[in-house]
Amino acid sequence: MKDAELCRWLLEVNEPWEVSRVRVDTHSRELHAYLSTGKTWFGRYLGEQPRSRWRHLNIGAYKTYIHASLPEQDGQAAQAFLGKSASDFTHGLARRVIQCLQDGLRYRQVCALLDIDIHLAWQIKHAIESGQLAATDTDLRARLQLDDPAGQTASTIPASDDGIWLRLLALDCPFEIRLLSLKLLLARARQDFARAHDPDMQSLRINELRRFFIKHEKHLEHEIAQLNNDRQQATEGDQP
Amino acid sequence: MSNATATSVLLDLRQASALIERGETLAIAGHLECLAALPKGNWIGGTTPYFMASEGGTCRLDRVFVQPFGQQVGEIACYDRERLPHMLEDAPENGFSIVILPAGSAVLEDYAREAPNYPDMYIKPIAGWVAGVHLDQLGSAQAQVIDGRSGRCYVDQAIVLHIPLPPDQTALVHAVNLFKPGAGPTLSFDETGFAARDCLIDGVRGSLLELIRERGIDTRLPLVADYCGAMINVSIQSLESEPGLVSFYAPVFAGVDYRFADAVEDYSARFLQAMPRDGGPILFGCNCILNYLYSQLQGRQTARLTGPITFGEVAYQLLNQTAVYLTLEHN
Repeated sequence: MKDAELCRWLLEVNEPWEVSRVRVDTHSRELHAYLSTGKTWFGRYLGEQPRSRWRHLNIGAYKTYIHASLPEQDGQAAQAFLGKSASDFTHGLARRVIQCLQDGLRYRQVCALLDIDIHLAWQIKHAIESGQLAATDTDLRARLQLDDPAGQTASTIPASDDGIWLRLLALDCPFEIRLLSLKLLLARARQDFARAHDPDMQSLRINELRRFFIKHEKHLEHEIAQLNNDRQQATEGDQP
Repeated sequence: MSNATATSVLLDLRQASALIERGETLAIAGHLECLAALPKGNWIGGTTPYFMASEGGTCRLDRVFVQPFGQQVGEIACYDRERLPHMLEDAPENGFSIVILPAGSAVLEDYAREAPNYPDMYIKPIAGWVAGVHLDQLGSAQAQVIDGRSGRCYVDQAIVLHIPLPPDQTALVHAVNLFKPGAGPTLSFDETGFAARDCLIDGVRGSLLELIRERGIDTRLPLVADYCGAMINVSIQSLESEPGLVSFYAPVFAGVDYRFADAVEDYSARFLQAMPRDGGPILFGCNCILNYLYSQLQGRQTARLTGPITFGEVAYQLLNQTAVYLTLEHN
């Protein structure tokens, strides 16, 4: 059985989706599955088409990531192996987290069990608390608050729906950057943002920026401090 | 990756062969005949006879510049135009990639235009260079890249070395560009491309060629754009290869504002000042053939940044008239 076919079975990918490519990074212990609907030609690159990247349930000890471009009008049921285009985790991972919480595990235990890092934990918790995920009731949200009253699972990097990202993507927002890669990434994101009015495309660009901050967190102390300062100033400005 | 790895250096063929046979993973720059004479092994190569050696800029047809990355590490992959956009998907989650692209190829043109939109671009570190030929052979020889595993040469593929790093190490890509936008008009282009006739000059449509001639602009100076503080050059290749046409070594991008750069006096001294004193060891470096020519770097040194003199530089995207280097940092 070929890698892509094996991966299709393990991830329970079903039609019209197929696994066009699989990459296993043994050093980082990550598995990346690239999905297509057969409309792309052998998973060929389609230039401007935005592609989401979702964390899924582990396969063995390997963190699993799904990459796919969602159709513009996706009327299909929420497949476990996909996520919302603006999200960075799959429906399957979200359901498992909720199921574990409903079975009585504490949030920190769930994150440890499912190998969820602090940044993703923060995103999922935020999604549950703000009612973005189906099947979460008020009791569950209240229990989540009790599990982590001081917000200890909070990341220093703001959640993707925080308004600071939109401000950062404004062309005239001053932001001092030291890393070449972030200068180039932000310049491209700002150009795209000025052109694209599609909210999904904007969310993908924000997710990409946030992913950069997470990946290079140790080298971005100066930039993260600026983000949080700007965020605090904006919050204070909003108060009467 | 161990800091004890051998440093980048200009070697004769016997010395380079010994490193290959010892199992070192290498990126090698040199004249085609030199590269073709090396044994098979875990290395990638590209053609150029120009180098920034520790002794200074030089042109050698009997030596190769070797950049080592450790023993038996990394993966080598060739990319044609179809696979090129997936280059960084193949890169390790933590590590870096070194790419060599042949000058004058369609694969280079694709990379120059499209790389900013490739998946994982700017997220995973990639640096590299564009292979060329001796300036006396322009028009008669082709730039080539070589897969050292097989010894095969390519004029139409990119060759890439993907190197993973342990979790406590990170690779950072840097660019040293001494050019800054001058006081002249702001130029913007309707389309992304390697050549242009008209553009908006301070918002008014006009001929770029006429602007250059009327103002007596020195075409050794590049167009410069400010990417959130990173100065990105586009160098002028030729005027009037067709009537009214200005050709570039890298594409100008639609929607980006450019200005011609101010002149840089005493490149070598200014370069030494611009090179940061801190930071981790340099694993890879290269500098542009236009800096070598226009700033007369032959016999002059550029601090601890050594490497091939190249026909385009890659620090994520294609750059011109820039020095690029990659450092290893401990988290």
